[in-house]
Amino acid sequence: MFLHHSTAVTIMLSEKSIRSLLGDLGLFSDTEQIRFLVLHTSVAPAGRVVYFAFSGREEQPRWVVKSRHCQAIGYNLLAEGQALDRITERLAGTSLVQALPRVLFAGEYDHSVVLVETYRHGTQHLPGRVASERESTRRYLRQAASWLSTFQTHTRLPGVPSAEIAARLSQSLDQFAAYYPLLEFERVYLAHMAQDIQELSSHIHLCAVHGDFAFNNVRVNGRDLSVFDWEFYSDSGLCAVDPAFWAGALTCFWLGLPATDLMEGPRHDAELRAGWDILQTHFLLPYAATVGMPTSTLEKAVPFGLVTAAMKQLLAYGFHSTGDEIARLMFRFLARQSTLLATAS
Amino acid sequence: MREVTQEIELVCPACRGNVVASGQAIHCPACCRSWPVQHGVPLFAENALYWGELEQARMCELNAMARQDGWSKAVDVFAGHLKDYITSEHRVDWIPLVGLSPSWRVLDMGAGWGGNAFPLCRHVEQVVAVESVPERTEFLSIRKEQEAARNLQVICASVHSLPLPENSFDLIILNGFLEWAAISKQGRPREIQKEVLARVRHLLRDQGCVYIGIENRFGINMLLGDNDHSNMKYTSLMPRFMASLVMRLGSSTQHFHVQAIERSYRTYTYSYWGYLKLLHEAGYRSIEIRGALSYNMPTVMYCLDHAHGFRHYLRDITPRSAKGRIVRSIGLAAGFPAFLKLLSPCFCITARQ
Repeated sequence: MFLHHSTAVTIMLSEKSIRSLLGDLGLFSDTEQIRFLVLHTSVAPAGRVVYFAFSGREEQPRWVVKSRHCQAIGYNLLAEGQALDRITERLAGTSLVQALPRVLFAGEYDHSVVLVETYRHGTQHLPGRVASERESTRRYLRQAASWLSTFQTHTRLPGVPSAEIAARLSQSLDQFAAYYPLLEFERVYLAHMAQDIQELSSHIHLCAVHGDFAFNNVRVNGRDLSVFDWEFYSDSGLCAVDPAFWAGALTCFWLGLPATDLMEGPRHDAELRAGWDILQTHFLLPYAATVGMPTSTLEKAVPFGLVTAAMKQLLAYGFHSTGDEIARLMFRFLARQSTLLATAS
Repeated sequence: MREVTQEIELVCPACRGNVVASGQAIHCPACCRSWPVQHGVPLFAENALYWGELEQARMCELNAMARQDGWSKAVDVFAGHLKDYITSEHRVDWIPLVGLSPSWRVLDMGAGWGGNAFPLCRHVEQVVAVESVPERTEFLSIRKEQEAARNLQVICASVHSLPLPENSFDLIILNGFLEWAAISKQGRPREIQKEVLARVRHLLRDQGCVYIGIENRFGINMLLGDNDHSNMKYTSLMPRFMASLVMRLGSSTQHFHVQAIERSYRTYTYSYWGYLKLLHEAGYRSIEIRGALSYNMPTVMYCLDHAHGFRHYLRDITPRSAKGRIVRSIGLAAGFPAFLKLLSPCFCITARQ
């Protein structure tokens, strides 16, 4: 099931094709006036091209066009289109719909899979380094926690038997242990987590999951948050996935991971702990309070969220990418911290 | 990798007649000249000067190891710092500008380590990689064999005497090439570059396109002290005679290992307007110039007549280096397309006949 870089079929639409698609969709009357900002994210085969289409001299892009390098995962874009339709329907009547891009086209064009969606105004808040935390960052974290908890409240699945949740948790651990080469202390940590499954399963819930909820998939426009990149969305998933992944992605960004070696030693420990403390205070705890999750449950649920997020992204792509790497690194950090605490005590 | 039906038929660089292959050599029946073939690569470049990121001796060691233990391992050992440059798929992120067709034949001039040529093999019918340094074509040939890139043809030749027939290519790539075109030939660098562009134009098919990835002479990175091709700071910003004088008088830390015909400033780059003029004079039409932070890995490309696109990108990034933060601030403050054209670090240029 894993794709090898050199065997991945690569595709890339040209600007000319995108121009013509936008014209065919009737989104621009004069396609010659379209100006593009072209961004390539990640490396092949996960690589993606995002075209921000501006009209004439307008300051904000009107449309966002996404295409994948690799045809095999290009179809994830179709899944994203369908996911957005479903979630829009599910959140109809709530203010959360305002946070979602509207899909104009999701399908094949010029032999490539393409997704065209509206551009949601706002800026990406990139909260610098841990040491330079400011009030704006704290406010941003609380804003994200509030959005996520409201989203989960609206999409919570009632009446799911705890046995079903326990089975899911157990499956995540098994898959994680099977796919990743784990260090000894991570195996010990996983064994401890397994012991918590029964207790945890009666305290956590299933709900809709974004699957890639991170600062780079969120834009802030005053008090409004818009959330995009829904290709890993699922209608029913573990509630801890999104908060855990958010915290993990932000910590990795602060530390320059995965380029930096987390296991380098004590050099990162202080910074990691400081960052994690900020995230706990301004993101995880407010989130837990709103969804009604006790703090002790949250602490146990987060590593399960990371393990599930890693597997979700890994299985969706069929190869390792930055997303699953982030979740795996954060899991390693938590496992290591737990080991250090156990040793100290 | 795709299968190739037939390799391109080569012509004599001197008389332009068809050449024939016999054993380990290639002959021109018309003018009776011949060229050796080594490791499956025809060597048309005579008395080639060495150019490379590694010293010549280390490059030879790398090739020896690549043959024995695989090219990837050899790169790890001898050129680990270049690994991304050699293997990253981001090297061909400029592809959306040209819109490849699977039936195309592409020429990669100055193919180097194959950073562009190998990814392209997966997109098009045939890729011809031309490189003038035998040590580098040897590496390309080893990598080709080990990657089973059967639609890649490697040729060792100088751009000043190409064994390629006219009207043969749908796309010609000059990625980090044009600025070096004058180091191996006597004469005025700009005239030599113009000649090269005109020669390349004749190799294009009717609807063919040339892609040029190159630095901006006055790019913000140059103003902030990045090394120029001379291995010195600020030389691209100086009048050419002054840059030559500085090169003769000064000493530099070698980043590139270059055997040039003379120690003067010959690696000319130009401004946005300079490239437009040069390409017009070389006979090109439909010239489109995009800005890029790096043409080697153009992960971000923006229209230069629309400053908002680039500003939109800048708003969403947090550079880690002080230099990066300065570039970001200037970019956000510079709200006019003229600033972008003037200060963009690099250009990704497409032009047609």
